[in-house]
Amino acid sequence: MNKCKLKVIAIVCSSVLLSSCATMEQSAGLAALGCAGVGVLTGVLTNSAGAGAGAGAGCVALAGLAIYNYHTSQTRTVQQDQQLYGYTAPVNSTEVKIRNATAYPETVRAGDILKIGMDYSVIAPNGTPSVNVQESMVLKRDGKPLKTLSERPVTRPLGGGSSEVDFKIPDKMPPGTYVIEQKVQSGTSYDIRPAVFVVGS
Amino acid sequence: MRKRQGVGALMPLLFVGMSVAVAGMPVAPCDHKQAAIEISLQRIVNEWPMRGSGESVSQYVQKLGIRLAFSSLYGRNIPWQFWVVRNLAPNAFSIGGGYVFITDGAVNFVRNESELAAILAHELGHELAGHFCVAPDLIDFGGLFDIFSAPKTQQHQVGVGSLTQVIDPVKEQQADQIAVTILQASGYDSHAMLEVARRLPKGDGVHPVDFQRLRALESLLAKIPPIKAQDSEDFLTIKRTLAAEQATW
Ligand SMILES: [Zn+2]
Repeated sequence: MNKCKLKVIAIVCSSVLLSSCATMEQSAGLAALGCAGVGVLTGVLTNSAGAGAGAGAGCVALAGLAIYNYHTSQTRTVQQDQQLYGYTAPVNSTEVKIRNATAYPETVRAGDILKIGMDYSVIAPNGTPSVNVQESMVLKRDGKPLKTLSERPVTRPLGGGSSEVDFKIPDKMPPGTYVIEQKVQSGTSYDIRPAVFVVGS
Repeated sequence: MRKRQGVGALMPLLFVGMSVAVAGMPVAPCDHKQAAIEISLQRIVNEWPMRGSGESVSQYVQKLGIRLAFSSLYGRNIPWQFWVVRNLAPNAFSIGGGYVFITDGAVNFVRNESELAAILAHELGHELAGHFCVAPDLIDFGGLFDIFSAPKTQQHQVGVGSLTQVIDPVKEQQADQIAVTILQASGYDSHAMLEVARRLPKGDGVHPVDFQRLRALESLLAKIPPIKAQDSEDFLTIKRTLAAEQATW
């Protein structure tokens, strides 16, 4: 098993196949993160442009919802990914395709850690060593975007990879059902997959 | 598994007076290609990010595609499936068996509903012309037809994903002719074909403009007066949906 690269704290690396953690990070100063958008880690946490000023109240309540940990790893080689999902190397295009997106646990309360996971394939012509991918997350409620939680450029080897982001649920986050939409994009190819969680009262 | 059929043998009849086509006429079987078509479909679905069939954009494209297809009695015999690929580059293609693909980029690209109908109608043209039934070598290689590409006078192939796209200028013009008829029969402005072709991104080396095809289209449309087709509320909603999605990200 490869040794995970730790930026701040140690976390057990649980990837199944290749067990290589490309990065693992923890953000500091979570309480200071506000709606105006604060750059954190290698990515950026920004307020959603779509939320606008009208989302003010919710925005305040969500101010503490910030990345706690970010963990990424390659979980399948090109060959394993091709075999699992039944495709062959493309001739001339790059594709990214989300295979799975999860939120765990499904129900959380203030102070809980919510784990948002995503597994996706990076598909490119044979011989391509790696591909630049933009990983993003938007928090939505009732179909409306509330907050861009993460926008992160990463360099991915071909094959299957996973990302996991931990969020700490802030005290004033209103109870209800939320959706975190996760997006990956490389060039013109992109994919989006939702994961649902409930904030209990 | 549903029965799939092609219409290649009916091509000479297809657009000679569509309004008097005989209801219930059986279409020519194309079953020998069906296994290869299904394999191509599976590869595309496994490889490319697609919008779910329940998404509003997919449902709208399916509805529009069916409306266009049903303007021909023969189109009613094909179990059409319209897929929306999550890709920002404008493109559309079909693989036979009634499977038609269009990208988000193409839906973004069009300025009105007639232009979107024109793109789909061109792909329907390939399907209705039986281009996938009468060219056995093409489907064996997962051949695709692309509305935006016909850069050479000879048939040639380019890679699209892991599949091979076959571009035959003659078949492209056939598909255009059928598309014009479909657009007329379904109340869309057939001149949108030309608008789309003229506005396509130029000079990218992959999709150069085929001037011969443009001239053929111009000649065909010279006899047909343009019409003012109103965009449907569904179309406007989908355009707003896509714009909102892009603003979100
Ligand atoms: Zn074509």
